[in-house]
Amino acid sequence: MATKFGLAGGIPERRVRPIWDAVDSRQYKPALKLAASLLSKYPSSPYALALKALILERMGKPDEALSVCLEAKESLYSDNFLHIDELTLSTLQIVFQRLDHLDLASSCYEHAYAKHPNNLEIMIGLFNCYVRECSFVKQQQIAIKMYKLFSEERFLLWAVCSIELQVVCNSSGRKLLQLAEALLKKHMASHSLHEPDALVMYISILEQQEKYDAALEVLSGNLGSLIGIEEDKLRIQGRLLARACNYAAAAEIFQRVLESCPDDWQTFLHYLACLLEEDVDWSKTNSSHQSCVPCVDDIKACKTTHLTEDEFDSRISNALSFVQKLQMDCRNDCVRGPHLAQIEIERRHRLHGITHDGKFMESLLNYFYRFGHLSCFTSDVEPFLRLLTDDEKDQLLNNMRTLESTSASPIKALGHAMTIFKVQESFGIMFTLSLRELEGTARKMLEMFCKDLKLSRDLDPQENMHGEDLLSMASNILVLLFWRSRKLGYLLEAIMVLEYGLNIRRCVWQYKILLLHLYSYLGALPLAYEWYSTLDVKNILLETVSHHILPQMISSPLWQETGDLLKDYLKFMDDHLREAADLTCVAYRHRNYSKVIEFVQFKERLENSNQLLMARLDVSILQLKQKADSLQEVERVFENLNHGSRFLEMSNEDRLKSLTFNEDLQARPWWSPTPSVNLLSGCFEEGSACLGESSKGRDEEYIVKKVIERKSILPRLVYLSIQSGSISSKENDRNGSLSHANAVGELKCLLERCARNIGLSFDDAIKCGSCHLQRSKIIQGFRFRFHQLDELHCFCQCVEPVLP
Amino acid sequence: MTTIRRFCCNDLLRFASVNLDHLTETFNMSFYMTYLARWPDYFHVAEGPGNHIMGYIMGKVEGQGESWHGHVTAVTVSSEFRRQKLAKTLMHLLEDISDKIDKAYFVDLFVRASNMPAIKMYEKLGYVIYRRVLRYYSGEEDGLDMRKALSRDVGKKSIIPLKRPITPDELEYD
Repeated sequence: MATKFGLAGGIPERRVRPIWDAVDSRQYKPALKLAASLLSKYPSSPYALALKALILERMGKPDEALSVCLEAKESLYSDNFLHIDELTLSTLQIVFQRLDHLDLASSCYEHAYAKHPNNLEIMIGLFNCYVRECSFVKQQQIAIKMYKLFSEERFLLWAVCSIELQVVCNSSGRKLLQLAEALLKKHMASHSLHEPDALVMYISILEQQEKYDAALEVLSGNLGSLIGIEEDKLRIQGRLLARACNYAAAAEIFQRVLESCPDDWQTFLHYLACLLEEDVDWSKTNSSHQSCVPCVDDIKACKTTHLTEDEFDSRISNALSFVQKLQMDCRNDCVRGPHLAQIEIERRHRLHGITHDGKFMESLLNYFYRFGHLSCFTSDVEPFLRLLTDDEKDQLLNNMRTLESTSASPIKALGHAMTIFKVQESFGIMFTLSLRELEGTARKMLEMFCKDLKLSRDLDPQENMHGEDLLSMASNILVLLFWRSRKLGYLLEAIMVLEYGLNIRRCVWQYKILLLHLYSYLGALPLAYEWYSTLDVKNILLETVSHHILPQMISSPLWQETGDLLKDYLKFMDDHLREAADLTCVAYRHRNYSKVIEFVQFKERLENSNQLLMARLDVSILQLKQKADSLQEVERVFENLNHGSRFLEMSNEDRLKSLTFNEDLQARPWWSPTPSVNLLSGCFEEGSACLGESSKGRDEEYIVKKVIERKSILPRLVYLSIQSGSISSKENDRNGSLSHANAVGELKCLLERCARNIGLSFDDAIKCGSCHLQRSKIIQGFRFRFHQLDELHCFCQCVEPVLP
Repeated sequence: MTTIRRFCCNDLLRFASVNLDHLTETFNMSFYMTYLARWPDYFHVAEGPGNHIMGYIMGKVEGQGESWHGHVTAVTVSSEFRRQKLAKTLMHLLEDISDKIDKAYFVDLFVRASNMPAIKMYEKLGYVIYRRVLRYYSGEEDGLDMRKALSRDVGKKSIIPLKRPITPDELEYD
């Protein structure tokens, strides 16, 4: 704020400075006094009014702030006021933005622009207003005007970004891309381009129109030198060549990248795909968009090659020689790329129907020999392990054990032993062992952990210990033992193992997550919550990590703690969504145009978060629960929710379709309950090894959408049932805006929707509701049951008014 | 097999396994996004097969005249991918960009005076303790300002250690 001094709407700086100083040091009351005295001297100054509004907003008086702001706006619009400066406008903009009235801020700038059509500051301010409003068309128009007046490259690129955003976010016609291309071409002819990201945008515009040759020409010309890192330029070049189906040239380019970056896994996959002329979705790798690279185990891509047998053989053998050369050249024993690449090549062989099985296994074993001691070995090779037959799995494990015994250093030997356990886990072998064998394995892991504690003796207490994963694996086996035997003791032992581990190293987050799920399962939620709190989950982790605790808490009686969790999460999301567009303005200002597109898409992704919508519903349902003792307070909650209608609007079909799922599920134990299934509550089934995987699929998303729909109906159901009861008792009241017939009609409609949502007919739902102990008939999982039971109770109570 | 590429917003939704580490700070969103918006070349992520995030580095370039320098704000590697010299690779990348693209004089970073494993690692990478900043971390713990000279600083003037410690308000940059 201190930078905002100068001529402010004609008020001398010495009079304004003390007000800003007070605001900056959060002394709002004195600031307000000073503002009042300033206003007495300059009663209709928009700037003085804007300052007062700003202070009122900071004091938590939004209504008063808005009214003063509107007064300032009116004064700004009056004919008597001729001098409009950026400082007044930007102060008003800040307040309007904080009051969620972006449109009013824009209209102030529009008014100022109409009066001063050549003022660059005002034009930039107006452009930023449109960025905040996501008005891409208006952004484009004002950017073009600035470009025409000042001929600066950045304004042209602002316009190009605005065009690109219309294409990306609004699926506007591709013709707009032609316009962007024409604008850039014309500018380049006379002024060339000077910013690296301007070039990236131009290439992106060409690429989206499938003008790959043109893009390649630009890149290989003088402008190519704008891309500072040579490998980055080559990667773009390779991608463009591949998209133009010039696979041989693309493979050559990717080969050059690999020569200088032999560990670059993505480039290796691109190289191989080009060599084998496979069909890859290159649009996902466009550098100007969010980088989501294709998956390593994309079997479909491997099968799309159209090469003859001979061609395939010769190309794959070229790839193998190249990769072996990279292995030789790489003296660094940490470069895993070329060695994993060899496994990938053998995998392609195998998928192509050529059974050099011996070589596939050999490459896996070689990889184990080199990198088997690393804790990432198993996740590196997981996609490859899935291809093995049962016999091959046995053979691999036997060979790995033989190699393990030759490990020279104790730390490497420990790493190898852990890897073998992990590979067994990945093969699902634990699910086939007898109870005694499982107990033996868990014991062995614990003994190994204790025996090898001495290896970590010299490590700093803050560093990770060698063998940490052993305790996580042992506790998972103990959970499995519980699932199979139903003996609770195993769960307690799993808890003790992890608590023991945390006694040795207080900061192992993997143990904490397992523990919180174990305590949750046992119903010891306060303990689960306590461990969750020690994870210090904040900022963006609230979006990705909260799923470990939120669902259990929401179904629990720990209302206070649940309310705190929801409040923190919603505050983070709301704050970020409010300021996100300001950061887009920063990206524009610093000429990082590809980030502009990325930021807008990311904001949209967070706005559509399923967790965000669910939290908005849950926080209101929680409020209703907390206020249930007082009808008056319940009614007040309903007033804020537009009597429950707000949620019905929020969960409409379009909204549900565009929901995003941002939770990071990697750290969830395979046995933790999901919305659709709670493995531990059912009987153990042999061959359930893959259950953990399947639970992460699209089914889960479908169920979450169902839960959201159900929860969004609940508040309105409760409201209508309360209303229909009270309306019927005072039917002849004069001002019943909601008539009994209407309430009952809507209630019935919603109840039918609710019944459909839980997969029952209306009549069946009533039957189930009236004897709600028939729970197991409708539901399977514990948590799922809990949610539905809650809602079924509600259903029964709401159904009364509509029964004959 | 490490793909090192520019960090993008979506990576914020996938770096939990790196950031749950107790020594890795999860900053507020405007902090990350300001770095992305202003210094995208200084914010890189290392990705393993299966698109697992292995670690990342974030930094910036700032200063006037001979103080024009690259700064490492955070460098972190997930526990699963440690002991593979990944931090070294990421640091070299940032040093390279500071040196070759932005022609900076040196790269610097701040580290807790008690974080001996990190200090040793930076020393191995060629950093020296330039000065001690008293109570730099939340007004409690001292920080060490470590520097490494780049090719533009021929006489390596930028890394001659200061004789006395300084206080945070004497720092030239935040």
